Amino acid sequence: MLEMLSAGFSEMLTIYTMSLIFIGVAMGLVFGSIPGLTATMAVAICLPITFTMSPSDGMALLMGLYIGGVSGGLIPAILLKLPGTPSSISSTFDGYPMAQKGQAGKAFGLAIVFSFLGGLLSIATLILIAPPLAQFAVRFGPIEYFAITVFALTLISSLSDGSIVKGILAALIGISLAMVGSAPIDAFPRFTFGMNALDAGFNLLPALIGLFAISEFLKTSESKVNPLVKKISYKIKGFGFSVAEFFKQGWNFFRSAFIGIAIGILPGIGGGTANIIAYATAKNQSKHPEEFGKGTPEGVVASESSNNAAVGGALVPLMALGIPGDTVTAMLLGGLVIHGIQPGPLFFTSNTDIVYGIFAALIIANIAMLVFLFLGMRFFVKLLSIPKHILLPIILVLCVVGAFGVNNRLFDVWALLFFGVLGYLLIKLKFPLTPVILGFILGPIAETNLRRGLMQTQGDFLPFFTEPIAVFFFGVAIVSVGLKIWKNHRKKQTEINISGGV
Amino acid sequence: MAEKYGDIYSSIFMMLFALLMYISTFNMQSMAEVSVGPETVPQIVAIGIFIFSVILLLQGIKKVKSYSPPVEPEGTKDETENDYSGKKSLVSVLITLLLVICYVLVMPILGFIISSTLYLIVQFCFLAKRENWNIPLYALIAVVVSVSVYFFFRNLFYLMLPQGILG
Repeated sequence: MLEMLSAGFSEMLTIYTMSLIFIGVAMGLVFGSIPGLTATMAVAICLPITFTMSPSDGMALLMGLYIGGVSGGLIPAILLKLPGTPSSISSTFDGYPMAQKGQAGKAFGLAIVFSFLGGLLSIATLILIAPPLAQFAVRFGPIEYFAITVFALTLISSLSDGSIVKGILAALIGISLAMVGSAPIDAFPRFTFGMNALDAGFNLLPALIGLFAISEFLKTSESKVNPLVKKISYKIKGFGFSVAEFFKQGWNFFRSAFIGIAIGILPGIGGGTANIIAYATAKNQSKHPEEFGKGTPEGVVASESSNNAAVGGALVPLMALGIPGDTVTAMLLGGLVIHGIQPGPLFFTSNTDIVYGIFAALIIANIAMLVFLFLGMRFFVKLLSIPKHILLPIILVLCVVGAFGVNNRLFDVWALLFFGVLGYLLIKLKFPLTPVILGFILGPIAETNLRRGLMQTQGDFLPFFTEPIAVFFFGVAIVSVGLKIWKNHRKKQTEINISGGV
Repeated sequence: MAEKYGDIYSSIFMMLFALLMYISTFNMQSMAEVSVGPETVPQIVAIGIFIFSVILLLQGIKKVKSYSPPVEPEGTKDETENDYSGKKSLVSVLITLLLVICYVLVMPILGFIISSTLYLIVQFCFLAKRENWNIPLYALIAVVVSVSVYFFFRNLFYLMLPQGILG
């Protein structure tokens, strides 16, 4: 494995590829630090640029964006109490009070160093568990794959925020949208409404960019944008904290990073949930829980080590099984598919160079993130004052260019707008968006494997419920839905009790 | 309104959608003799959407009955949105959408550079408050962005964006 990793590094350590990683990290940090722009959007806009690159170069850029996008959120979280991305929500809880107390430098130092360490630990985990998992998954047949995709879809629907009914409906909508075009196996055209442009179905890219970037743009256009004018001042010296303070966070760091990795691996939830759970756990386990929320370094460390740790976690199912766990990994899947690579167990045997190139790129990007944030803090802080009414229309133009670039035709731009409006409506009606896109990606995989499996068993459904691995995944899927229903029910009960008591 | 009746509207719409989807699977016939043809999964999904829409409808009706105007929830969600102050309105979303549609419609005629420049200027103005308008700056940004995006993608990534009347 070590020699493959060093081969991966040698592939990444060319000036061109390294500069792609650096550009990726820098752009990711920019997108992460501006509230309203996310890592997902950064990857979406850059996907079309990777068309003409080699697969490893393309992935190098995207990995840089991913790491940078997740990390950039800490800047406005600490300075302005605005989480730049959902991944840094709980960094505001203690980071902002710390900045108010004049400890912004210390908060930044801790946040950056523990982001780096969390990311590093999770990348190490990824390198250790993804290859054996892929090796195990090579034996999976269509029946197992069908079970895993169904499991992933139910888990995503039940774990995403809000009502489970809406989560499942969102996933079903995604699956239906993916049905437009030729059916798998026999290529029978479905739901094309006689439009030739739809024969190949909706392309993933306009769907992704539309649902996540255009919908956000439409949401912002609901009201006039107030130019953000806030005086931002802070001081940072060295790392901002002492060696003793660093080691005091040891256990807190390992616990939070572990939570981040574990949550990252589960499909459907990523850094956005991980940081909140890690923060809550740190508070519960702390000897001084009353200090949380008032500017304790522990809170910042918990939040920032967990959200970066979720990155490596989320890449485990994507690379080993071909199943994306959140929106950014769905984008990365799109990026691989564009280059004709299907992630999954075979990815590790047929494209070993790219796999280890991705690992190497992640490590390099993580180091670049650390350096850029320490050296470039002043620059990133300046970015916070770019007005949104200038930025968002430019991003829309870039989205249009990206969609047009898919096939050099305006049809995909119209598809982009369709998905944008759909995404906006779903946000307004409080449907979660992640299940839609994962349904869109996983639906066809599930259908293909179901039909292949049935061909294998000559139309017999029984093996779907007797194969042990399949049964296991169906079982976990049912348990996850059951748990969520029970949890919602209990929440309602306590609400009734509280209101009844008053 | 959307807060109160949203679930009911969306569930009814999705029930209709599921029905249409189910009906349109009737003329899907597989050429191969298999137990699961191209129509099977769409049918399962349509039935699934229908069942869950019914549940959502029931939940929505229950919600309307016990509805009390929402107390502004405090929390992180609002924190992220507090820089978009001002009145929210559907009209401005529709106008923005209309602007984008016009932009895409005229792009093949005027070409990428001209249409993007015009779109950007109008959109900047629309998103900003009247008193903050700075048209010369907007025009400059719009031209620089459109021209640089066009040549960047054309020369570096060989993406042939529409040339329109400039071509």
